[in-house]
Amino acid sequence: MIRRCFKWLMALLLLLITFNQLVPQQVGAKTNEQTVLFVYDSVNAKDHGDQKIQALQRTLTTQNQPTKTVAMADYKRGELNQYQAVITLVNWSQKTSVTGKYQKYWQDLAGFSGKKLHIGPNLQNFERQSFTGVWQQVTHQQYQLLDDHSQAKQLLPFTNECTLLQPTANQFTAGELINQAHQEQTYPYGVVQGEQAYLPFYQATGLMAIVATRLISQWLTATSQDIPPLLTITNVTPMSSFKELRELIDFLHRQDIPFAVSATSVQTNTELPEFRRYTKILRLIENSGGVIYLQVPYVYTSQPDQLPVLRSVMAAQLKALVKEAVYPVGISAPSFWNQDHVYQQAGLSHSKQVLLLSNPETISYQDYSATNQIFGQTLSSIPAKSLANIKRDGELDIAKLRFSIPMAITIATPTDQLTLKQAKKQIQHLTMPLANPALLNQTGRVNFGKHQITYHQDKYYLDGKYQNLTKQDVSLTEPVRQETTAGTLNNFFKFQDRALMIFLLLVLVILLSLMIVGRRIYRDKFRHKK
Amino acid sequence: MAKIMVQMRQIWRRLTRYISPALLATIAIAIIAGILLFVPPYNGYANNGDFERSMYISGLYVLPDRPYNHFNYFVRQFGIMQYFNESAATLFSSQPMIIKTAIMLNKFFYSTTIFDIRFLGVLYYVFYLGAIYLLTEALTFRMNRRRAYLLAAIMVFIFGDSSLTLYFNSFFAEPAMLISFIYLFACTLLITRRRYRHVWPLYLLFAVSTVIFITVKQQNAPLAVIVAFIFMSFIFAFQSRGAKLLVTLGTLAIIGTGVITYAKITKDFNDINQYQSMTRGVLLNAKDPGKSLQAGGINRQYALLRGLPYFETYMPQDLHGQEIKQNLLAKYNFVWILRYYLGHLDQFGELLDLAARDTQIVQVSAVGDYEQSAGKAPIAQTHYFTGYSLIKKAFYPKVFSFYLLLLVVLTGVYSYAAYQDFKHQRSENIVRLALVIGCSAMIIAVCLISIIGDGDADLAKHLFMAPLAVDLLTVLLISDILSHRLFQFVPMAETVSTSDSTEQAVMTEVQAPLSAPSQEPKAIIKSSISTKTESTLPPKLVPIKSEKTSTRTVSLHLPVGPESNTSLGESQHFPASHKQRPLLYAHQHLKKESVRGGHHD
Repeated sequence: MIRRCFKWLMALLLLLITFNQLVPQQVGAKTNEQTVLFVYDSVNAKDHGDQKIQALQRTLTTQNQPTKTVAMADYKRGELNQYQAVITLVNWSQKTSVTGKYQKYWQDLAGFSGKKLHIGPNLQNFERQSFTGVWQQVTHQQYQLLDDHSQAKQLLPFTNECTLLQPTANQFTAGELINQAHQEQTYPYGVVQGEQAYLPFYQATGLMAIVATRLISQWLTATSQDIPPLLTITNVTPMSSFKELRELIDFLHRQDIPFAVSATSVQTNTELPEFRRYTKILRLIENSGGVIYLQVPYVYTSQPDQLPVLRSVMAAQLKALVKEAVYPVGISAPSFWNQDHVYQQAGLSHSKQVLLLSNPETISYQDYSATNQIFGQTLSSIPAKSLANIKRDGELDIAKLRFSIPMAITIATPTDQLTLKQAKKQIQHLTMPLANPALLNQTGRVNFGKHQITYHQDKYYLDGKYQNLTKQDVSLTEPVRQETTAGTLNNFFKFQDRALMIFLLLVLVILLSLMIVGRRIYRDKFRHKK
Repeated sequence: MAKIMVQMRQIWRRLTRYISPALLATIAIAIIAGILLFVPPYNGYANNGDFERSMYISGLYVLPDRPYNHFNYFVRQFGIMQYFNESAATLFSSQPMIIKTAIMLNKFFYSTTIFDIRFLGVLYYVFYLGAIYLLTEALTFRMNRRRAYLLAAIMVFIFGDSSLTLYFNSFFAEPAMLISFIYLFACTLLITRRRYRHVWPLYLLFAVSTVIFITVKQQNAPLAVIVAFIFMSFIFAFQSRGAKLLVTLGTLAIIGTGVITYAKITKDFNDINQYQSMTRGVLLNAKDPGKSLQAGGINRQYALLRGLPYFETYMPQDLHGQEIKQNLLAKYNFVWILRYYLGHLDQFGELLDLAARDTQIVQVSAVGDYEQSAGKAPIAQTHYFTGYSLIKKAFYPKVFSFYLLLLVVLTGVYSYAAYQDFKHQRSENIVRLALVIGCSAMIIAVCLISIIGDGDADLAKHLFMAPLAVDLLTVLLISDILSHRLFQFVPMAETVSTSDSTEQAVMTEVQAPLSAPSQEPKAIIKSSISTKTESTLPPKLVPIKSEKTSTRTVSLHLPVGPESNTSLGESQHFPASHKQRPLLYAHQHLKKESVRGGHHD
């Protein structure tokens, strides 16, 4: 009996061990299978190629696609096989067209059976053969991009050379390119045929970005949603012009336009009245139908061991804001923050609601990460002014414009009356349905320390307790400061300090006395003695 | 015991025969600094972010395949750019010239692709030892031998301190400032004390040191006024109009160098300083910083930047953006800041006291001194031969008024001898007074410039010249006390071999009376005299220290030979006491034209 039990136990143990060994492999395999490999040939910052890379990274994060970004030069043979889909971005045609360059990658891509998307020129022969249609090389042309969903049109910049496909089979197409000189000459902008997709060129802003994201969404998930964008005021800082910002908030409130604000804060000097003036504005935003995304700080230098430092900076900012009854619903950050281990862990992980903005001119990584982080909900930014010249039936109209991924239409905070006027004009131009955070069923959560801010259906909660949007003393435990003790040696040097001063003063007094005496003797030399 | 004493004396005699105090100080510092810089574990300063300014323009880059730690560890090797260097100079400085010289040495002796910072260290090291030699020589000149060696030991303790020599293995501009200013100081003393027969190399060295000192760091541009003031005092050493004109032109050239250096400050650099002068200066101790800003017509919200330096890692606003330039930086300048401080003297006083507290901190505590391979903790500091800097840090009062008092007292103390020189138409102590005032004023000026120009940001590094000036004043004061020339003029200007040879070759350079026509060439007197005293001087000069002696000044008018060169004078004043007679005897073989007396020094 005991022997039998022992046998059963041993079998069970063996089973458990085997299961334990299998499970991580399965998870790992699954993760890799779902990951997209994003390969680019060159950053080509001169032609804003960097903006294309970060916009595509944002788009993929927004679609909850774990993505690894790698330069073609850094690609390792066989790496491709671990991924479900691959995006090839050619940013610099002259570089990629060199015969024999990046052969490892092209050879692997030719044998890859998963989803493939090629963006840009230098389409390889094996890629062309995957599509049914006639390939045409067009030079020195200008096109209008027509969004077939909304019938909105936008004039594109002049193109020197590009390869377009005139499909002959039933394929999914996104957008249409209408030749500016010969209106009857049209080509589909984006084409999806089975697992293959192609975009002849790409821009990070404007109608092209919207159409391209639809194509990517269709290619990756075979679905296309209509998600209303969120109007977002960016670049709000404690040093912004409050007069103009207040006027803009009033305007939005009066127009009943829901909005969000991406606002930075400070981790020091929070005891100053200027910080209270700032939080007063932020409370006004919350009370005017707006929500606040805490924008991560501007970073200038790379320094070692920044994980705890940044974590404490973020926690200090959130704590100070909460004390002033300001409750951010998410975190906003430039895109490069999602390509850095430190920023991901210490900055973005504070929330499941992340708004990814375009990168500033100078970026500084602490610990670069090729893989992005996925959040509960990610919004990708698109500037409102890039939509300003979109027309429909010859009129400036974007009412029918639809977005396939969660997007934030951004307007920079006004700095003076002129920019305020421009901002109001841009907002009035946004006639499409906008997202209302208050009506969304999603819950915004921001964590700091042991505390959690929750936003759900226009109500704010701190650690599960409902919060009024009026300033009150929110009790958050303060760290106890240790008092320093002065040593006896310090006291000695303090005494010695004084002694040296006294000595110098004495010397000075003696010098002055000698001077006076000397002068008297000198004068006496010339006096007549009686 | 007696045997030991005899042996000790013999060793002492042998030592002093071959090694002069200056050479001793130089050798000792060479060993101390050599161990620090060139013997494993190698020491130097880690990068605090300043290195890039001079590195890239000099054609160096951080090696990508090796760990590079800002702040934490000293990095020894860098890459040498092999192709066209497109880096533009972020600021005007003569430092890249020095680094490029080190790169040349590196390419010749070590590698054309990898630069070892120790080649820069060697360059600084060699010039520093030269500076130490000249300074010790200037200070121990005409000094009792034992006291001279004592002073040499003090020199080693002060100038061998690792807090100074650590700078050599770094791309900071401070080592060039340190070396050039010591040369400048030593040359001034050597010229006025007529230590060497040919003075033109000293004038040349003075000129080169001045140019390097002023141009190596833009912060030194205002200090050109002080250097010009010191040089201007040379006017008392000359009688001819031509020479005086040359001194005036030289003074103007020094000021011109300062003006050019100041004018070359780039916009970016100016923005950094201007920003920090506000956030780390005006706002730092203000009771209501927002109100202070508002009163000056600036958005009061910028008070929230209080205390944040320009290179703060995490900032609430884009410092490179237009907004901050338009709304903050364009709204004030240094006149605004000065006016603000004059209206808030208590706050200014607090900041100056803060500067005074940092004045004696030379070792950069924000960065590590060891390589990562040394296995030390990040930002680990070396304590090897840092006794002087540690004592200094604790010893000096931490109030700005101390330095003001020091300026007044030192000026008072040195004025007496200068007045006597002025009365007797001599120049040595007048120039020495100018040097003392210049150095004391430098301490004050450096504190003021740093606070007004950059707030308390990077204060310890910005104040580098202040502790150096204090050190130089300290050794000068000690040497003057030891040689009893604090209040007196030591009349002979001569070159004396400091060896203990019984037969000392004395080369005496005798100056013409200041009233004499300038075209009269000086006389060079070479004589061989016997001396058995311990003094490095011939016994004729010893009586000066005797307070009982009535020192009567006499003048020797010496014959001038056609072979005599440079015209600095032909006669000298001598104290005429009975103990000074050996001097007179020593020169009696020369034709004595007249003896003038009656003055009491």
